[in-house]
Amino acid sequence: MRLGRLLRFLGLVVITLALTARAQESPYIFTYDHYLEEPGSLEVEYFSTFGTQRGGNDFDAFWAEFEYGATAWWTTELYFDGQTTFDDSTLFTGFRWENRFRLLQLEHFINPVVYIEYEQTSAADKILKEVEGHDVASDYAAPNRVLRKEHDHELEFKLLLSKSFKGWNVAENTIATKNLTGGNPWEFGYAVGASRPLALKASPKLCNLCRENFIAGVEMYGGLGDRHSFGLHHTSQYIAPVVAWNLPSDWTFRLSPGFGLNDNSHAFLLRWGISREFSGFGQLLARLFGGTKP
Amino acid sequence: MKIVVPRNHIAAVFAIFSLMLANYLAAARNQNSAQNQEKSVYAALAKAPQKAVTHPNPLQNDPNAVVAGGKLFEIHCSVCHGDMAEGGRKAPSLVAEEVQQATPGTLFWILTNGVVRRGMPVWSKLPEPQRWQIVSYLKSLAPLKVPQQIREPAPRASVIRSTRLSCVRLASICRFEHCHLSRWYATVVESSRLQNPQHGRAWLWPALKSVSNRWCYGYERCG
Repeated sequence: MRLGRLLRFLGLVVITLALTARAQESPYIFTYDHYLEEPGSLEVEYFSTFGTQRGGNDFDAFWAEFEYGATAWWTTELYFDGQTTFDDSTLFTGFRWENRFRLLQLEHFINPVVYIEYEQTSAADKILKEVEGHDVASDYAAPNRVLRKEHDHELEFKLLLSKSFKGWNVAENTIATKNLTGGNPWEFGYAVGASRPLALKASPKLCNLCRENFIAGVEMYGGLGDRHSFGLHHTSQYIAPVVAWNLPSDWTFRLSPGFGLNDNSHAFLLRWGISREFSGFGQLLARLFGGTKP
Repeated sequence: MKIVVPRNHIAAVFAIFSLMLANYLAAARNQNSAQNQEKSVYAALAKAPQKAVTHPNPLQNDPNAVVAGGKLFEIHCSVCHGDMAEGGRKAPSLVAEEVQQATPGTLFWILTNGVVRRGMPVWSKLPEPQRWQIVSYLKSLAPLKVPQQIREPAPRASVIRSTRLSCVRLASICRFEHCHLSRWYATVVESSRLQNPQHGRAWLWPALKSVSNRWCYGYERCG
């Protein structure tokens, strides 16, 4: 019985992959704006970060994201991280569970969203999805066999503030992280971003290369020290142009070359990602378990 | 290295997520009961502030606005509101009188702010001109004025009226790919079947095909 249900579930997943999907994604890879996933939609994403490493081997870290719109005010997301350090090894480095809550129902001058994440990763995790505290490039220089032995259980909180105006989006994230392992202090970080579509009006034709399908911007992020030593001293800082290409065929590509702004940062990070949104995934699941009739 | 996670932290995490789950279930229950009250679905339209209600559509005279809006509707809205804006399980009909009588400014306000409590997300992530294009398209879905020669016999006319298609809507459909037309056939047939259960599908198909061919090849003359 269980096997039958599992097979039905797998069948529905395959059908879902053939469903039409809707994408209008922001170009940010690090920064969050206040837009949540549409209710019932599942977005499957793959991202990669190539990074240069001073005093060590360059690396390519990657992660898969499964982002689901539970309601119009709650989005939940699961990450699986991994990395390859060149001339070293490839590792699965952990998982994250992220939740975002929209606080206000209507749009306001500034729109706040609360972000709560639990992550269980090893020190070998190099996706650099968050840069906080005194995270510096030299932390990642050790070989994988050493880094993988250290495990982190972290709770991370963010206050996401965002505003869209005249086609522009401006977003600011304040990050606070508590490592539950040992007696580490609260660590802080930030991210800011601005972006705009290349054209504000949609063209009447379906097209891949229309200017409105491209969104370009820039984001900047870095650490702000910890509770005992708040500030920019001994932190890493990055700036990264970003561009997203939203295809009518439901795929989104993102590209972002990032540059370290001080000697504590990786000199160069090349991030890219591909994602696809599957609308109606929630309804499919509900049907599977008898929640609603087609 | 031994991992030590304090128990009170784990309890706090579970408490937070239990609270989230409870909230979600409560909201889902409210949403279901609200969907049963069809009239209240449109109550959000009345919440638009006066300044928004009277805001004119800046793209009212843009000849491409409706077609571009149709494309945007297809991409972003049809998955919940239906291909023909006829509504679905998750979202109400947009060809209903309440929506069609609303001012463009009201529809723009709803698009911008969403109806978060009822599951409609905010769409301010679309630039303002694109939201106005969608409004133009929605306003073009006004009840269809059916030409006299295809208004008879009576059952056929009622079917066509029930779809509430305008010539402009057809224009946007016809400019799309053929698959969209097929979906339109399916929607029309299904909607007419639901409204006229005494009639079979067989007689309906050639009639609809004739009508849609006529409009798709000559929609510029629709007026």
